[in-house]
This record gives sequence, structure tokens and C-alpha cells, in this order.
Amino acid sequence: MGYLDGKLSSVAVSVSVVLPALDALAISVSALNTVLNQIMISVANIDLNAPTQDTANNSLQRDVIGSKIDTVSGNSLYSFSVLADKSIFPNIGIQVWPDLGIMVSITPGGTAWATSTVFVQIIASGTIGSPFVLDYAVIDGAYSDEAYQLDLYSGTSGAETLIATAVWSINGIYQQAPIKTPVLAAGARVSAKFASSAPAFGYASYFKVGYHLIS
Amino acid sequence: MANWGAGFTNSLPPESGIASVNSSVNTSFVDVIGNKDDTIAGTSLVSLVKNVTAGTGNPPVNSVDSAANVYVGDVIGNKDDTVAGTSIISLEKQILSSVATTRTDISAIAVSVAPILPAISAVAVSVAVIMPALSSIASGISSESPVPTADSADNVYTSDVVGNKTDTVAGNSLVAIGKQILASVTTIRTDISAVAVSVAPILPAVQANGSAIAAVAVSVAPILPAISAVAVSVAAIMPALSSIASAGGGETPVPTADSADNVYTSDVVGNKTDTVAGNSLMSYSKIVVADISSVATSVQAMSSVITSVADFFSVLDAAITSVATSTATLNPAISSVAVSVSSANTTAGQIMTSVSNVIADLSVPAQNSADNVYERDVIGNKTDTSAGNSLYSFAKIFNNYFHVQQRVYPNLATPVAVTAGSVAWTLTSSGFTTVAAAGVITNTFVIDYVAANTTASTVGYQLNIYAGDAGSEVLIGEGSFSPNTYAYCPMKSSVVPSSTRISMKMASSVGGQANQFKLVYHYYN
Repeated sequence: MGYLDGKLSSVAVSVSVVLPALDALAISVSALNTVLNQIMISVANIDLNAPTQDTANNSLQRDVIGSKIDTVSGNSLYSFSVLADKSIFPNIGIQVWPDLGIMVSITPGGTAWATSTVFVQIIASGTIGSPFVLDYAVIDGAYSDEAYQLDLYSGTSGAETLIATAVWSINGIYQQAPIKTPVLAAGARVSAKFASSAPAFGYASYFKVGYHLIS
Repeated sequence: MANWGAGFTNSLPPESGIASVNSSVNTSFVDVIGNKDDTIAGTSLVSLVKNVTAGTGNPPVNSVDSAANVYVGDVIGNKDDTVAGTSIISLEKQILSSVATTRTDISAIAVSVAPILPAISAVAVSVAVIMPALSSIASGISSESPVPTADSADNVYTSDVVGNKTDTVAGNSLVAIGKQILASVTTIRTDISAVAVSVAPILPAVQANGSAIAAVAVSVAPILPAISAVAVSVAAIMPALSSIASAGGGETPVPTADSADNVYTSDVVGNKTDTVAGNSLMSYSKIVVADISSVATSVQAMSSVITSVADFFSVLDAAITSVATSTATLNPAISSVAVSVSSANTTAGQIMTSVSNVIADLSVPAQNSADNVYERDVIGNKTDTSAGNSLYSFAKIFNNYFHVQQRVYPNLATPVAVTAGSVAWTLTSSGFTTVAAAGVITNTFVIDYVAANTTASTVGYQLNIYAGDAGSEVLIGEGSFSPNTYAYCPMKSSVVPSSTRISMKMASSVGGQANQFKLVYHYYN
């Protein structure tokens, strides 16, 4: 074998050793590239951005946590936090309706514990410009020492929904009854029906409500 | 020339008999004419005639492959002389054979002509040496004869042997043989030129294979003796040519250089100063020399090419060595990289798994999931209820606490009357008074207040509230009030399961007092 053949054989041997290593390297790099691409795609899909305001989505944790611009209309944790905050520390304290006005007169039903035959509006639609919650009701002018019940509703006429019940056992003294209600939408109408343990007298009583804004 | 007729004047020396046989005297015409018995060894006209003619006026050709070496005819030979003879014809045929063999050999060993060069040079030198002898031949032939017809097959006279300038390679005269030589040499030159062109691509293969070079060397070996034989043959021509020259009588002047004449044999033989532009034997011989020189040049060119190829292979060898070294160095590096990449790949796979887990963890858990592995389990699902324990469940519970419909029991009905124990600050002794029977409040709930009758006696009261069926009552809240100030007795009960029976007991600061109550509560969910 010639000298050149020897050299070429040496190179061929070296190359034959290198080639499997290069093949293995190529395979490894290809696999790595595939995994890295998958990682890139996965990482790109990781969405830690806050969701849109008051989103109704419920797929990712961010949907449950919510956005800082979520409002009391949302159902995220942030919305609930805002609700709790506004109930405990309202921007404006408890307000009264009718504000500096005559109390609303409501006549109970004609029999014991029968409620009024019609809904009596306490807060007209559009009166309160922000979402709000009723905190208490005040009764005055009770005819006698009886027990009384006031059912409060929200909704337009013909579409009233019960939101709270207050009871008293008084004898005409101006007296509060604490109440809880759901959050009422801005401008919501509030009406009521009234009942007493001795309706035979058929006398009306007078009411105001205390509320605070959730905004 | 002297006039031997009647008008001859006696201005010449008188006759004095005849000269003795082969006399060397040269005084009188008698001496010049000689003796009838003079032999060819003499110098008289008789000797010359005997020497030149055999009674026909033309010298006869010798027998085939004659060994005689006395007359010019012996030297020139017979057209049928073979390569075994020693005549010019034999020698020319030897040359032709040798050249043909050489051409075959050279074609066979195209790439290995370098070793041939010295031998070919020797041939060139030898051929060059022939030229003066050929000139002597020309000058030694005195009796001019018309040239034979082209490619004549005659083999009687020397002129037949010399041939005709228009003889072709199909003939067998000197001219024909010379043209054959020229054709052969031309072919050789073409072959060698082709070899020069083709040797470059051949050489790498030859260089790459030492055994092939060795084979070439083996092939060259048998050629060298043949070429040496050519040289020996040429050398052998020399004495014969010299003999021809020295034996020549009746010399005739050589033709002018490059004469176009084609009348006499001397025209065919030519002049020493004939060039390759002529068509005499001399010209053809010079053409042969020039062609062989051209061959030498071609071979030198091939040598240069071979040298370049050798230089190229030297560089290639260094490059291959460098490549081998680099490759050897590269291999462990590649292996190391492969290991690193493999490790990186494993790590990437782990990262991918982690990322996948992170992504999975970002999704919301199932409603009211009891899992407590990931943050999502703690955060919860928007559909979680108060039955769950996630942050969302708690948020919903808190929201319900503040923003939920307030309810009353008994609803639109008479409050439940309860009587305190007969002794001050002792609870009702007549058992638990049911306020809400089992199944009447059909949701999980929390009692916020107990509304009392403000018309009752203005004393102090304590009210205990229980959950559970009769005999299994569990205290869930206590309150203390006075009708004047606590018409609504705050009461934070524990969470009460749906449909749970609620009962009461009461104590008063004045034993035996009675009061009426309603529960103010909200749904926990």
C-alpha cells in the first residue's frame, strides 16, 4: 500500500470514528431542539397576564383571581374582595332613603301575617346611581304592641324579587331592624310588603331604609 | 578529356607497355589504366571497373542477409534482408522494428516515460551520428541511375533499394522505409503528446498506489534493453556506413541543399546541408531527428507535469495529515459535546415536564376539590360553593355574609314563646322549645339575630340556641338582651346544616319570665 493510501486510510479511520459521534450528536441536538421547541411553545402559552375585566371565564387560576379593574359585577376573588371592602369600609357611610323626606307608608294585609296586597315602592328606579346594599329598615307609627314583618323586594313593577325580611315587635317606637340584602344594581327599584300579627286594625306604618354604596 | 583519335598530338608521354598488376605507380596513362589482371584491390581504372560493375554496368544486389562486407552493395544489402542481417536494409528494418516496439512500449507505459528519456536521448545521439555516414554514402555513389518507379518491387539495383522520392509507406525502398520511420515517429509524438495531456489525471492514481508505480517500473525494465539494442544497432551501422563511404568510387557531386530534383539516386540521398524542408533521405533523417527531439521535449513537458503533480501530492499529503490530526482532535470534542447535549436534552425534558406541570397547575381545579397540592387547589374554582374550603369558597361565604337575602323564621307567623326557668338566671326547665322544626329550613344557614318581643317585662334575659333533634341538642349560640335595648339580640351561630331542628332555652334576671322570638338568619351558601 502506498504512502498516500496509508494517510488516507488514517483519515478514513478517524472519520469513521467521528461520524458515529456526529450522528449521535445530530440525533441528540435534534431531540434537544424538539424539546426546546416544545418548551418554547409551552412557555409561550403560559399566560400570567391578568384576565379581562369581569371575565366570566373559569379555566385558569387567573380567571378565578381576577383583575384589579374587576368590579362588584364580577365573580372573581378580586370582585369579592371589593364587595367585602365596600361593605366594611364604604366610600360613603350609610345613607337613608327617603333622604330628608317623608317615610313611606305601607298598610299590612287584611289578616294576621298577611302581607300588603300590592308592592309599595320605597326606592324608585334610577334613584341610587351605584350598586348598593340595604343595611336596615326603620319602622315608625306602629299602631299597637304587635309583631310586624316587612318583606323587601327589588325589581321593576311586576318583576319583584324578595331580597330581605325584617321583623319587629314594638309598640310604635321608632325602631331599626338590621337587614342583609344581595348587592343591588345601580338604579335598582326597591319595594316592600308589610304584615302584622293583628291586622284587623288596618293601620299603615311608615318606613325608611338605610343603605350603603358598593363603589 | 583526352582525344585518343587521329589528331592526337604527341604532347603526352610515349606508350611504355602496360602497368604491372595492381601497380601503385601513378606516372603515366598506363599506370592510370592499369592491368587487365588488376583486382579490385588496385587503384587503376581496371580495378575501379571491376569494383563498380559486374559486367552489367550496375552493381548487383547481394543475397539475402549476406555477410559480405566488401562492396557498397554488401553494405546496402537486399530488399529482402531481414532484421537478422547487417546491411542497411536489415538495420533499417531493425530500426523500424525497434521503433514500433518502442512505440508500443511507450504507449503501454505512458506515465513512466521519465526513465526512458536518457535512452531516447541516446538514440537521438546515435541517429545524429548516422548522418555523416549517410552523407558519405551519397558521395560514394558515382554511377548515377534513374530512380525506379514509385514503390517499385524491383530488387536488382542499388537504386531500387534507395527508391523514389514519391515512394510511399507501402513500399520497401529506403525512401519508403524512411517515410515509415517518419510516420512511426509522428505517431509516437502524437501518442506521447496525448500521454502528456492524459498523464495529469493518471498520476494521482499512480501516486496513490505505490504498487502501480512499481508495476510501471517493471514495465519499463524490459523496454530499456530494447532501446539499448537500438543504440547498439545504430552503432553497428556505423562501420558499414564508413565502409560504404571509403569504398565509394566515381564520386558525383551532391545535389544542392534541399534540391527538389528527383532524377538521380544522389537526389534521393540528398545533401549534408539538407533541412527538414527537403525530401531527400538526409531531410527525412533530419526530420526523424527533429521528431525524436520533439518527443524528448514532450517527455520533458511530461516530466514537468509529473513534477507538478508530485508537488501537488506533497501538499495533499500535508493536508491529509492535517485533516487526520484535526479529525483526531475533533473526535473527543464531538463526543464531549454529544455527552453535554445528551445531558442538556435530559435537563430540557425535565424542564418540559416542569413547564407542563406549571401549565396544568394554572388551570382551575374541579369544583369544591379537596386537593391541597397546588396553589390552584387553594385558590379554587368560580363554581366552588360554601361546601368547599378554597379561597373562593371562603370569599363566597364572606360575600354571602354581607350580601344575601335576610330571612325570618317563623315567617309571617306568630313568634315562638319561651319561658325562663323559675329561678333567676336558670334556663327553661321544661325542656327545649322548638323554634324551627327539622326540615323547615332547607338550606345550610347561619342565625344572625333573634328578634325579641319588646313588650315583654323589662328585665334581663339570656337566650341559648341549640341545633339537633330532641335529645341531641347542641348549643350553637348564646345571647343576652333587654327588651328596651335589645329588640334584636345579636346571635352569631355556627353554621347549621340544612333541615336541622333549632330549639331554645331562656333564663331571666327575674325567674319565670316569658318572651316571644323569631330567628333572623341567612343561607350560608
